[in-house]
Formats: sequence, C-alpha cells, structure tokens
Amino acid sequence: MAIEKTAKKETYKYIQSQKTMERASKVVPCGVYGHLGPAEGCMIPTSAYPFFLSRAKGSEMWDADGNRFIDYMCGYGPNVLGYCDPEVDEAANKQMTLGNCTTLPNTIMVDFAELLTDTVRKDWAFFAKNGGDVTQLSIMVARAHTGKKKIIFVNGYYHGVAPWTQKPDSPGVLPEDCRNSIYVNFNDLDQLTKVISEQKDKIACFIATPYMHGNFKDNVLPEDGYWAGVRKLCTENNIVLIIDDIRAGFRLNLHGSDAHYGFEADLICFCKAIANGYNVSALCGKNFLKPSVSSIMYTGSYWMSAVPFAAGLVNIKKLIDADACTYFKKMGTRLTDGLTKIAATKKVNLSISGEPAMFYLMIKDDNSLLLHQEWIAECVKRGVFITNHHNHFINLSLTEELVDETLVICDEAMDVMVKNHPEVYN
Amino acid sequence: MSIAKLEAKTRAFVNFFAAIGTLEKFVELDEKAKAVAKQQNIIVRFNVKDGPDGLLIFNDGAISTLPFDGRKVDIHLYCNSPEKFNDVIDDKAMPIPLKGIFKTLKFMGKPETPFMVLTKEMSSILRDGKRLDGTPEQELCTKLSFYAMAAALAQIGNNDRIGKLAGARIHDGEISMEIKDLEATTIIANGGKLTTKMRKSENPRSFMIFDSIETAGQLIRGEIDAMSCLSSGKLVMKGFIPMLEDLNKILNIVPKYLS
Repeated sequence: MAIEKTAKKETYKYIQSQKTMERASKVVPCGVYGHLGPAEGCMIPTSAYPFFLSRAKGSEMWDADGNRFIDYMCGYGPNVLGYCDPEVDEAANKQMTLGNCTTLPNTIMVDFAELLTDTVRKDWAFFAKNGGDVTQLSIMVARAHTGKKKIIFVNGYYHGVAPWTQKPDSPGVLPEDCRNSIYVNFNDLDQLTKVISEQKDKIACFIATPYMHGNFKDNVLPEDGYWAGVRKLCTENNIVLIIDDIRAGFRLNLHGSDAHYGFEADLICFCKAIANGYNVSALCGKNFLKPSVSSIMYTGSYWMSAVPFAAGLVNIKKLIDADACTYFKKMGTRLTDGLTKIAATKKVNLSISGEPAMFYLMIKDDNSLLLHQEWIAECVKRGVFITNHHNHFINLSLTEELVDETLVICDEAMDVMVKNHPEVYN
Repeated sequence: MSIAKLEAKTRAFVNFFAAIGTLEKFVELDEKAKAVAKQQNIIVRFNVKDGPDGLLIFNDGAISTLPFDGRKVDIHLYCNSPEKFNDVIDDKAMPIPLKGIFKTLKFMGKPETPFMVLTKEMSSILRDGKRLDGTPEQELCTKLSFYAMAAALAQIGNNDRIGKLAGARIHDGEISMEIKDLEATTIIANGGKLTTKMRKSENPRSFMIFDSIETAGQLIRGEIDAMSCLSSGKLVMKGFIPMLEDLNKILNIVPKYLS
C-alpha cells in the first residue's frame, strides 16, 4: 500500500450538519427526504454521518463542517466520471448560454439520442428526468403494445417509488395499485415458466434489474442460462422484457447491462450515470415498440432541456474513450480484494457480493447487522463515505491512491469494531 | 370476511391485548393502581367468537393478559361476536357469563370493583394526560400509550387487512422498542406472527429507541413525525432494519384502532 497506516486521533464531528438539519426539519419533510436522507436506513447510526455537503470534486466531498470524505456512493450512482468533471461542466455551461429549457428542443437532443442509441444498441430513445419516469413509461409501453395488464416483478426489486412499484401496505398506496403485480424469485426459471403458463394472456411485461443489487442481503448475479431462459419465455409468450438499468447502466458495460449478460432487452431504462449528474433519464427500445411508445401521451416541462443533453454527450464519449467499465471493475476489485484481506486477518466474516463496480458489503458475524453497522460508522467518521445497506459505486476519477487510503481507514475502523467486541472476536 | 368485520375483529384483539393488556403496566407504574389490583385475585377468560380468547389474571397486585391456555378459570365470559366485545369495552354491553356469574358481578358488575376502577382510571389518564404538559400524569400517559402501542402493533400485524401484509413479512426475531433508559417492550416475530412482551428484549435483532420520554410523547400524540426524529437523532433505529421498515407500516395503522 502506498500510504502508511496511521491512527487518527479524532473522528469527525458534524456540528454544522446537525444545525442545518434542525433548520431543514422545520421546512422540509424529514429534513432530507428520500434516499439521500438519514431516514431511509442507509445511514446507521445517523450520528455517524454528515447530512449536508459544502462541495465535491472527483471522488471526494467535503461536508458542511469541512470534513473530507472519499465517496463511494457517487450520489447513489450519477457521479460516474467524477464530481465536477471539467469537460462535462464546460459543455453544460456552453449549452446554457445557448438556451436550455426552450420552446422547441435544441438540435443537441438528436445528437444525444443518436449517440445513446448507438452506444446501447437500441433503436430509439425517449428522454425524461428521473428513473421513475422511464420505468413508468416502460410499463405503459408494454401494456400499449400487448394489450395485457400484469407485470412480473422479481422479489427484492426496486423500480422507483410510483404506486405500482410499491406494496399495498405502503403509506399512500392502494391495494388496487398492486392488483396487477406478480412476484417471482430471481434465477428461478421453473417458477417463471409456471407463472407464465398460468397467466400468459394477462402478462404484459417482465421487469427486472440485470442482477439483484438490493439492500440488506448479498447481491446476486444471474446464473448461467437465466437471462437466455427469460428472453426465450418472454419472446414465446408476447411478454415485453424490460431491464431497469438505472443503477447498473454504464457501470458494467457501455452497451447496456443486457449486453453485459449476453441477452437483449426489448426496453431498457437508463438514468443515473447517463450524464454525470445532469438530470436526464432515457427509455431506450427496439423498433417493434416504437409505434406503441409514440402513441402514448407522456411529457414533462423539463424533459427536453438541452443542458443535460450536452453533458450526456461528453459524458458518454469520455466513458467510451476511457474504456470506463474495465476501469470500474479493476478499481472495484482492488478495493474489495483489499477489504477481503483486511477482514481475513481479523477473522471478520465480511461478505462482498455483486459486481466489483457496484460492490455490496455485509459483515455476517451477527444476525442483527449491528457489527456491520458499527464498522461502517467507524469508516464514515474517519473519512470513507460508505453506507450500511446499499451497493456502492466506483467512478472514473477514483485513483489507486484513494483506494489504498480507503483501505487504511477501513482497516483502522475494523480494528475499532473488533476491539469493542471481544465477546465475538477473541 | 368483509372489511368492516375484519376491522371489528382486529379492534377486538386490540381491545383485549392492548387496551385491557396495558393494565399490566399500569399497576407496575402506579402504586395506587397496584393497591387497587391487590384487592382481588382472579382469573377471567374473555372468550369472543371469531375474536380473542384470552385470560386476564389478577394476582397479588400484578395483572397479566395472555391467550387462553386451557387452565381453570374463575370466570368465563363469552361474547358472540367481536362487535359485541367491542361494545363491552365501550361500556355499552355486558358479556355473557358462562361460569362464575356471582364472581362476575364482583368483577365487573359495579363501578367500584377493582377491574372497573382500574379501567376507568387508566382511560382517564390516557385521555386527559396528553394535555397536562410536563406533569407526572403526562409522563404516565406517555408510558402507558407506549405499551398500548406496542401491544396493538402485534394484534394489528396479525389481523388487520393491510397490517397483515407487513406483519407476515417481518423476519423472525425480536424488535426492541425502548424509551431510552426508562421503558422497554419487545415485539417478537415468529413465522409471520407477532406477539408483544412488555419487557426488555434479551436478544434483539433490531432496535427502535426514543431518546426521551418527551420524544416518545410527542410522537405518540402526533406532534412530530418519526422520519424527522430519525433525521434529528431523537429516534434511533438500528440492527436488522427491514424488520423496522415493515413494523413502521403497521405503526401507521395504529391510530385507527387506538385513537
């Protein structure tokens, strides 16, 4: 390792963050709602985490108190080149001077659609703003095309927050919202075959992430033949195969995660890493679905804004030029191999799952996950921003030096956790 | 079963295990209540058709409720429907004594019997204590509401139409609900069924901890919301969080049955 192991005397304090949260709680529900907030179960204990940033650059960010972090959440995915990438920002700034949210779309929309469809090997691209916009559209397209109602989900899924993606016991969701939902297990072709044989005349689509990158459990990769089997079943039964590539898109394979796993989706949803943090999402699809998507009235005030297209153009070109996914895998492997070694020396049962570019961590020495949460908290308080129960992300600006610094901090944090629990680690 | 019937059934379970069941903590937390309870040692079976079949036990100043386990009882009270039992709780009807008719009169036939005194007094504290800012009465109200909420969670998770969806998903294990350094109760999930133990968990898999009696009171009274408390650190959740996520979905339904 390039950096010597040195114990830090003090861990971070978050005085300004907490003061700001007090202000925020008065005027914003939850203070910070949704996945960036501390109420969603990814920041445990909340006292170990900052709540607000002052700035971010590359793979690093500084909180409201000036504490520096090496960030492995990457804005939960959008930061794919590095925060404030100069070339992307320059293109965005230039486009801003030419017009952004205008009466007619700028020609740059077509430039971006051409580059995107060419990159992900689909025939058309429909732009919106967030992942949920395009997962919603994908369901509508499937229903419009097939004339059928039902949706097959894979247990443990996440496809956004619209009522149809939720369970009927979620606040604000009606049982009727979930009436057309069918749930199957990942990697279980027999079960899928049975479900389809029973209800094929009602099933419009199968929607899934390319692998299971859910929370609170090991992430699961597709078994050999799984996606080929799903593809075959969908084709034979007039079921639209939708891949939600919002989280994994542009991290595993620039052609899309369906290409990564050797099959072809009918529809594929992109968002997070598409424009390095500029807000655009896209549903990309095959030609046979173009009449259906064209027939749907679906629009939004900012969906054709030009600045994100300008950013996305540069972003995708840079990802291609850098062979980014190879780099993500290499750096993810360097980090996870290092963590595996550290845990082994301390006899900590650290499970690392998923793809290296989006690694998932879980200490499995207790069934409450308290040991894991304690270790993660000690990492955060020492300057490595990782969350308890979410996959992490590698970005192109992450250097070997930063990875090695991360390992030093994680090592020290694990020492603290282990020493606090002689009843487990003796 | 119709939605109305299912809600009446759920309410009956909540009424027995949460409303009557909280007497257990009332006599622990209030010396005067304990003295009243001490006046009578008795085992009463409340047997509700299509509803709870449980025991209410007065023993040397302690009170407990539990599912009927076949033991010999002093009084066996029967209601022919959950609605009827709910009317009994609302003081609009009397149950049918199948055993111990004279003991029944001594148990709940007059306003001055220990059971009637205790239920009336506890209802009064739960109703009026909310408004008595910073007083011991409000603190007692908060503690009793905390236990009633915990007891209701299990019953709603086992019976309510929506609550059952979340209840059935909760992973096996114990959830410790605590008012820090003050009170603690345990929700036990086992095979999709929930029970509440009004004692601190010895082997919790997840934790929901209010930082103070004030926070617990404000949350129970609906003056602040749980998500904001998580952000501010007034409410700590840790451990196996999926258990708490599902529990919170049931928690959202509690006011419908415990208002």
